[in-house]
Amino acid sequence: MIAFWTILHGIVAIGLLGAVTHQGLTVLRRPAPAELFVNRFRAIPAGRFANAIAVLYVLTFALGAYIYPTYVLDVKGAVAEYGLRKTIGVFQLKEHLAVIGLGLLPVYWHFWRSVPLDTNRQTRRFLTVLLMLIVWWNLVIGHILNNVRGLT
Amino acid sequence: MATLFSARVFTLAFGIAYAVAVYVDYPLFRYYPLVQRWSLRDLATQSLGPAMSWYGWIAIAAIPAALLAVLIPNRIGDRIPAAVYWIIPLVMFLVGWYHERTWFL
Repeated sequence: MIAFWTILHGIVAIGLLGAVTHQGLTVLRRPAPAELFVNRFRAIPAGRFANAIAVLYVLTFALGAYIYPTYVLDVKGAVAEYGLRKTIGVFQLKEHLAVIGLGLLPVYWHFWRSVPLDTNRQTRRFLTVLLMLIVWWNLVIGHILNNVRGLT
Repeated sequence: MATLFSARVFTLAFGIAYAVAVYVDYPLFRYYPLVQRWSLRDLATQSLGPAMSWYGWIAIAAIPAALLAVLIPNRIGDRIPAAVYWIIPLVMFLVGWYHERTWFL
């Protein structure tokens, strides 16, 4: 059953990754005609993604928190026995980064949905890009660790 | 939009409280997954297996942050400079890094 929750955690995380990457690359883009695929990918109404990103982030976080004890019991000890202490350290940082993203989520949502979009642009851009980087880091590290020693 | 919850206050309070809780290693509670037991005290008994502080750090940061976010009016919370939210994640990350440094030594 833990494999089901782990896969679901990964699938929701990939949905979150897509949404936050769309938004993150859009806020970094200078207004210009979107002719190439990359520019069309980035030329979206970024504000509309804020609700979906917030919901997907909380869902991904909750699923991760649910499977975390199994990781501690089945994976962490085994990886330590392999002598891969830095791998564990990187995963531990992933957990702190996940909490940083969770803590930022209310103010991220506030700057997208409650503050006029023509003000605080730099802060909105910073929070969005940071959230995007956190999600990318956490998905990649989680995937690598699952390759080293997966939950079964 | 007027709400009863100040997001600016929550994130500021949560960030500071989490950083302090991790730095001094003071979770609200610990979870012992081997025996599926929650404890307000550090039981520190090997037979109970590894202790998890992560949930307790989140709880000890989230509870006061949520209370402050409700109690402090938005008109005050909105005065918190936006620059604060550039610093908070950096502080949280540095404290997390410091706490986990032994894995990298």
